[in-house]
Amino acid sequence: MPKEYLGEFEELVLTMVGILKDEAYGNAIVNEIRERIGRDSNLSAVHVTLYRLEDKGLIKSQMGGSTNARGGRRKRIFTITNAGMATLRVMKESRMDLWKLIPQLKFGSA
Amino acid sequence: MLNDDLAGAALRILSWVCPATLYEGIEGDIIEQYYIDCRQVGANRAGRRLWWRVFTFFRPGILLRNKFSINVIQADMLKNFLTVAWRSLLRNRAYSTVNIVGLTLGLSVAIILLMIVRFEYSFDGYHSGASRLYQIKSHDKFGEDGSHVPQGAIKALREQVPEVESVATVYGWTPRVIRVGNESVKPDAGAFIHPEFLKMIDVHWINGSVAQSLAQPFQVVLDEPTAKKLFHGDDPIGKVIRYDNQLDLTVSGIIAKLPVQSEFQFGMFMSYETLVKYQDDYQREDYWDGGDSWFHGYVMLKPGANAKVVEAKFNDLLRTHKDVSQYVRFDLLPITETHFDPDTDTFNYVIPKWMLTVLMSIAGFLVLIASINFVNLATAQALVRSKEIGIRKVMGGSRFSIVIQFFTETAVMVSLSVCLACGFASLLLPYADHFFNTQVNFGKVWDAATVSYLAGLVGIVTILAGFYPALILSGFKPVSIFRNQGSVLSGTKISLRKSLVIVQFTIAQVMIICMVIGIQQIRFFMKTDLGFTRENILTVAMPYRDSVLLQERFKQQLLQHPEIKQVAFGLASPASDRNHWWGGTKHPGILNGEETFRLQWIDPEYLSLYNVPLLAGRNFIPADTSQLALINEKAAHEMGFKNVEDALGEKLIYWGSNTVTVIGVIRDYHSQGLKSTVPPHLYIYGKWNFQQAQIKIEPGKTADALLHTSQVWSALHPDYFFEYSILSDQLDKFYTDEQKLSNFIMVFAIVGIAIGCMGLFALVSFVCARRSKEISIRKVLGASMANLMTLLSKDFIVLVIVAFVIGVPIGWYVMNKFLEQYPNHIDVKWSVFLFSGALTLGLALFTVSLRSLSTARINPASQLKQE
Repeated sequence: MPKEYLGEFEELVLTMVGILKDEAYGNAIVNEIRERIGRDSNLSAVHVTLYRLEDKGLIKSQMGGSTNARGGRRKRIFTITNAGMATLRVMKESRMDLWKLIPQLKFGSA
Repeated sequence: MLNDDLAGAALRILSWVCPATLYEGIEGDIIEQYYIDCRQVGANRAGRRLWWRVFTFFRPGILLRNKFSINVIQADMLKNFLTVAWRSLLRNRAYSTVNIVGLTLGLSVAIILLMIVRFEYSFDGYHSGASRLYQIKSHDKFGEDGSHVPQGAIKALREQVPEVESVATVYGWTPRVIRVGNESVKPDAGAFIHPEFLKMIDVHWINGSVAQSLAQPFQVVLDEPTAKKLFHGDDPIGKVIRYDNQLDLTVSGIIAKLPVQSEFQFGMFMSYETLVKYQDDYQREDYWDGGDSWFHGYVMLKPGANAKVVEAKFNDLLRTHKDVSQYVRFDLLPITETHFDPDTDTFNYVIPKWMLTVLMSIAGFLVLIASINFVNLATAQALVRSKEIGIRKVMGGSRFSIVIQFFTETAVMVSLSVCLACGFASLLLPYADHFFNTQVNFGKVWDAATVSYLAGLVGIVTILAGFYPALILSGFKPVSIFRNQGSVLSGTKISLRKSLVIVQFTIAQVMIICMVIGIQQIRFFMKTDLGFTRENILTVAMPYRDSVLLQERFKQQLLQHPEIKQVAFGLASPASDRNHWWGGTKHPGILNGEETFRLQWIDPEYLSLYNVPLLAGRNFIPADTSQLALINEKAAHEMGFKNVEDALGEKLIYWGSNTVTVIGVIRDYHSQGLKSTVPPHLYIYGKWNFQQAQIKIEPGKTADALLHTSQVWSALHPDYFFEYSILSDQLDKFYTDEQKLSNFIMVFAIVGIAIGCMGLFALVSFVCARRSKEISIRKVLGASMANLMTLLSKDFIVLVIVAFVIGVPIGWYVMNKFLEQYPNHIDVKWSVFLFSGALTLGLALFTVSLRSLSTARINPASQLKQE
């Protein structure tokens, strides 16, 4: 079991970092969240969450290349660490275990 | 880059608060989203969204990340800044000296001033119940404010107003002598009080208590120094002291001396019951009429009670007694305000609030002048420092860090000055107390509040003095510094320096104008003929209600000495700041039938001793009775007589029942000093109230006359102290406030102009150093000394003249306002301005020439040989 629990938004952002791989930076994550699950999130909230995850050692960051679209500013690219992957996996599995315990409604002939 | 300035501004703001390591990534994201928004919703809405997005970054998760990463760097740099600050301080000794001396001078005065102002504001604020304690102010039917509160009012307040916790009379009354056994002692101030009063103010009881020590008649509570003085260390409790040779009082308690910031500087508190036994007048508990202005009333409200409500109830009570009272209104004045209100007739002294405001603003101006020196010298030095700044920038120093560097340097100098100034201030404080007539040094001076004030002062002066240099110096572009040194200082910066010099000298100029006019006004007060002789007159306090026979013997024995020319008796000298007796006086000719006249008791020789002429009628003769009276011109006019002769034979009634007939009218004289107008006077020949002997002496024989008088005194009044004063000294005491203020302004004007001149000197030195080659070349080409001096001095002298032109109307306006409050004042003459201007200009010229002269005399060869 991981030592620390993740908040719902933290887990979401961590997952997005995993999904986006080499293109995981603040703005991309905001847009990805909007496209995938149709949820509007705040850029500053995402940034703060990313730094917090970095503090916890679940992701790491380095400066990437600059593009004209960013006025020459470099991107801070986040990548998921092994610890981050482990946390995600543990969380997913514990959810699945719990999910299985919910009595399933059966349709059809009874 | 963003083409939108507003968006750029938002990002700049963000860059100040955002940790540098994170900033690039955040900024990039914001810009990227901005461009996307621009395409999708247009530039306007995109801009708004950008602002909002920037705004949302002001959150703890971002802001709190700052501290950690930045502090580590700053601590290291700070050490470097301090080293550099110290080195540059040592390298530029002349500039540093001017800066530090100027600042120290200004700050010492500012610190002393703060202490004085704080001291004055602290009066009676230390009592635990101060916020509920009020002095009662009375307002009489003639429109005068006063401090007397009749005992009927005190009683009514105590018994009929439920919001009142306690109420007490304090009757300041200092006896002429105290006897302990066979020893006569000069007494301290004393007061008759209701015992509750020592509960209302904070008192530390060493022996005794409120309940037991003052409830009975003939009890007295002493403060420690008085007890020591009277009993020389013996236990005073239960011992008897003889008060004014009339009353035997038993010592029933000892309290610690009250702090100096209290109005109640009494060494003896006598029980109110004693007063009732001592003087029959006070047995009437339902008395609501007028009386002695030192018969004060103090009231303590219950917690949470509203003073306005109590005031209203009190005045309702007063209205039920309006037929027998001379008062029409009572006000409750918070105890902390009594120190500023001249109508309260406090037992200590009163200082007007505006004077404290003036002092504070002067302190501010002095600090400003000193800070301007700092700014000017720093910008003048900019050239020298520009290379250092260039190097720092090239090596990666940010503008912010250079700003911090210069603030650090300023802070180092300011802290140094503040430390020195504290030393000076504490050394000078006793002298300042003496010079300004204050008692700050006896109060608490160095405490937490002072320290925090000093810290605040360091902060403010650092920002004031360091802001501009830091901004200018940090703005230098390294490229232009290294390419071409000369162009770093552009024209605008020099004109700022000029305008700052103008500001400095305008302030100094205004202060000098105020000083000159203030001194003239004081001199006018002291030298103007008050309408009676004031030189060579000695006044001696007589025992209260002395025997007429003793008085006559005293007079006859004095006159046997050739130095003593004349002796007269009266209540008091024609003008003194104490012992004014007043009485409601009735006459059909007076508007509304009654007015307050000032009462004076005199004998037949009084007027001739003081050379006060009679305008009509006759003087008293020894055979006259107290049914006859003299009045002054003003009184005759108030009674409706244009021609003073017509007032003769008129009947006046004073104090309700005493009828007198006017037998003469004398010329008006300034009985209240020149700060007030002349009141109507009534003179009565009543021997019972002669409290003072007036002795005219041979000029130049004061010492002999005093010796003889004191000998005669001790022979006739062995039980009393010989208390005398010289009339002219006494009269000057009217103007203590003005004297104080004028002393203040004089010191400040001198300090102000001194700091200004120091700055000027440093600036001239700077210019001389910069232009030494130019001067040398001019000299070689044949310029005369006069040419060179003009060249170097002209610019500065022009500034001083401009300051004069600005300063004159300000000084004129301020001083006109100041003089308007006095009915008798000097006219402001143009010569004052010319004199002040010439003084400032002369000092500036002297300062400038100190330096320009040596530069002009320099040997050109020594300057030019290196080229």
